[in-house]
Order: sequence, then structure tokens, then C-alpha cells
Amino acid sequence: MYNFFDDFFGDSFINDLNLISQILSNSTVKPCDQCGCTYEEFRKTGLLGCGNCYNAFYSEIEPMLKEIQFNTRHKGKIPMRSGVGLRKEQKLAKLKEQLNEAVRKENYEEAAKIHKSIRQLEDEK
Amino acid sequence: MAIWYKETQNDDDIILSSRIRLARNLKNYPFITKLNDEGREKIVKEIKKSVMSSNSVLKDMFEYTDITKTSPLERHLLKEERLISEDMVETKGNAGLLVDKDKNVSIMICEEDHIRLQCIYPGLNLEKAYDMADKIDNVIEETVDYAFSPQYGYLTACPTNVGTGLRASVMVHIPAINICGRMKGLADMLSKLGLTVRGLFGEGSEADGYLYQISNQITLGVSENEIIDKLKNAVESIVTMEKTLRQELKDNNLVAISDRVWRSYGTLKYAQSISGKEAKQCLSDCLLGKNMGIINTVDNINLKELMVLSEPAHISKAFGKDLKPEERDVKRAEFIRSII
Ligand SMILES: [Zn+2]
Repeated sequence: MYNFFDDFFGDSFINDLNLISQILSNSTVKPCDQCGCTYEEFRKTGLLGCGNCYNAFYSEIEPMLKEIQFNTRHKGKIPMRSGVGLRKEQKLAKLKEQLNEAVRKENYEEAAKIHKSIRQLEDEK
Repeated sequence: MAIWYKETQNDDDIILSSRIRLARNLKNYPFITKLNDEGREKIVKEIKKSVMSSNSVLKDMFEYTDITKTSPLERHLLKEERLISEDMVETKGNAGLLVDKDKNVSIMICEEDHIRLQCIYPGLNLEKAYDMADKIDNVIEETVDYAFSPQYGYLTACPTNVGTGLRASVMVHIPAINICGRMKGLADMLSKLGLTVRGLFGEGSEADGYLYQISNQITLGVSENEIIDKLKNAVESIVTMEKTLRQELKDNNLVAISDRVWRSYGTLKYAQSISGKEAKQCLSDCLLGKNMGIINTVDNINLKELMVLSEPAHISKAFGKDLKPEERDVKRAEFIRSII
């Protein structure tokens, strides 16, 4: 009688393990609806098809970035024209980091100053 | 500043050049793999316009080359000068290149990303190179919408570049670290810092001419300044390490190292046929010998420039383009003899 498990755990299966595990784990990932890039294409070439692919493959890319970049949040330059609001957000995050640091060091004078800057920045339109 | 290999003011032979590369993509187009030739043409036009149009502050700075119309030899020449990448040499679709007059800045259009903006200066000049790249990036962004996400930053075709899109690298010449068998240790140390080392010519750890590129691996979640500072500190400790080992070689193995340098000089001066790999090796030995005070017969020769000029495409250009590799080796030897 044909035994599914013999076949499943036989040598041929081990050889194709990588390939099969790819297909199994990716069968649920839908292609990007803007450029048509499939997750398999990305796996094969390492290249995405468009900016929206980062959203389309979010659940796969997020852990992957954690592994290769150790980080999943941008901290660098922000485009001039389109990034005004974002720039403020980044500045606030930095000030809050400094505030925590000052409190940790029990430097309350400094902390008060930073707190004031945060209030000012938050009030800006 | 002069192109990296022509710089002679900086006598340092350990740090040859600093390079900043920014990867950018346009918002309203798919990335290169999903872009047809019409789309590529539009992107080339749009970027070219943003840099060269009459109200751009950069308009007099750059010259434009349509890569599609260049010969394979021209592409290889550009590659040997580090102005374009291997990918761009092989490109089949529409692609463009903007290079400034001093050949410090090059903008590749339609490479792996829509824009690969790079700035190379001689010596350790990462901040200056970043400053220039940053300014040009801002000018382009005045008229072009970049693919950018608040979470992931500048979106790139390959997730290994996402975030800052910044690859900062320093080209170093580190023969003593190699000769003393410290490459593996160095690679391990760099990898712990999120930096990588790779051979500039040839692959693997045994690079021709002991030229290596040290670069950042991580592009997301760190600021441009942090990337540059970390790389700069690492390169400074590599320089110290190389200098210490050179002194040790001098103190403990002077005969062996002098013999090696002078033999390489002899090869360059008298060889009747020499491969690109051997030429680079011998030039590297002479560069080392010159800076260790072992050899004085190459004092007035720019050995770094010779390394570039003796690469295949440069030899072919100087001696006729249809040379077979073995004919090229003869011409290379002839060319080097005429200078050394
Ligand atoms: Zn897509």
C-alpha cells in the first residue's frame, strides 16, 4: 500500500526540503496588488517589485528585517518636502530619549529643560 | 578634489578613498524588476531633468552619458574608475549616468534602484562625501517624489539597503595585516560591529593587491551619522593595526619584506608579460615598500593610478580594443616598463 509518510520522510523529501518548505510557508502570501510581484519571485531574486511590496509582504519582511538589519524602524534622513510631520515626530522621540536619560541620571534640572522643549515642540503647529 | 586614484597630496597608502552611496527610488513607478523599458526611459528623463534643468543648482556640474549607447569597452573603463557598478556594465535596458567634471560624483539611473548616487573622495573623507551626496539628494528631491515610508525610510528594491539607503565604504590597502595572517580576525571584529570587509578585486579573502572595501552592513534603524562614525572609528583602528604590523615586519623580518618588495619591483621593471592580478600584487608590494622606506626608486610614480591604468579595459583602450588576454598581458608589461 502506498504510504504517504514513507514518501514524505524519504530521501527525496529531504533533498527537496528547502523548496517544499518555501512553497508550504508561502502559499498563503498573496502577490503585491500594485506590481504583481509574488513572494516566490522575491525569495528567488532578493528584489522587491515596488514600494507597496513592503506592505504586501509585511508579515514576512518584518521578521526578516529584524534578522538582517536588527531593526525595523527608520531613524535617518527624512525627505525635505514630504517629511515635515515625520521630522517633528523623530525630533520628539529623540527628546524623550534624552529626557529618560536625564531622569535616570537624576539630573532633574536638565530633565525640566528637556520637558519644556518637548512641550514647545508639541504645541507647534 | 581629484578622482581618488590621481590624488598625490595625500601620501597615505593605507586609506585610498572614501565612498558614500545613496539608493533612492521614485514613488510613482515600480522598482526596476517590474519596470518596462518605457518606464525606465521616463525615469531616466525625470532624474536627468531634475539635475540638469536650467533652475537646478547642479546644472553646470554634471555631464550626461546614455549608457544604452556606450560600447562594452567604455562601460568597463567607467567600472574600472569605480564610476559605475558591475550591474550597470551588464545592463540591457535604458539606463543613464551623470558624472561631475572631477569624477567625484556619479549618479547611476536605473541600476538595481532607480537612483544610485555615489560620491568618492581620496583619503578618509566620509563626512565630506556624505555632505555632498546629501546636498545632491536634496536637489533631486525638490522635483522628484521618493518612495519613502515612515517606518522603513527610503524604500529600496533589496531590503538590505532599506532605511537610509546608505552604503558608506572606505577602500583600504592592508598588506601587513594580510602577510601577518590577521585578515580572519579583522573580518570577525568588523562583523561584530555590523561592518563587512570584501576584496576590491577578485572575491574571497585573498584580494588582489591587498585592496579591501570596508562598509556598513546595516542601513535601517541607524542614522547616517552613526553609520559614518562607526565606520570611521573602525577604519582608524585598522590603520593603527596595519602600521603596528608594518613596524613589526620591519623589526623582525626586514630581509624577507625587503626581498619581497625588490623582487616585485624587478618584475614590474623587466617582465615581458604580466597578468592584471600579478601587476596589482607587485604594485601593492612597491606601495608598501615605498611607505616603509624600503624602496626609493618609485618615489615619483603614482602607483595607485598605475593599478587602475593597468586594468584590462584601460590597457585595451591605450593599445587597441581587440586585444586577446595574452596580448593584453604583453602590452600591460610594456606599459608598466615604460613608467617604472
Ligand atoms: Zn509591489
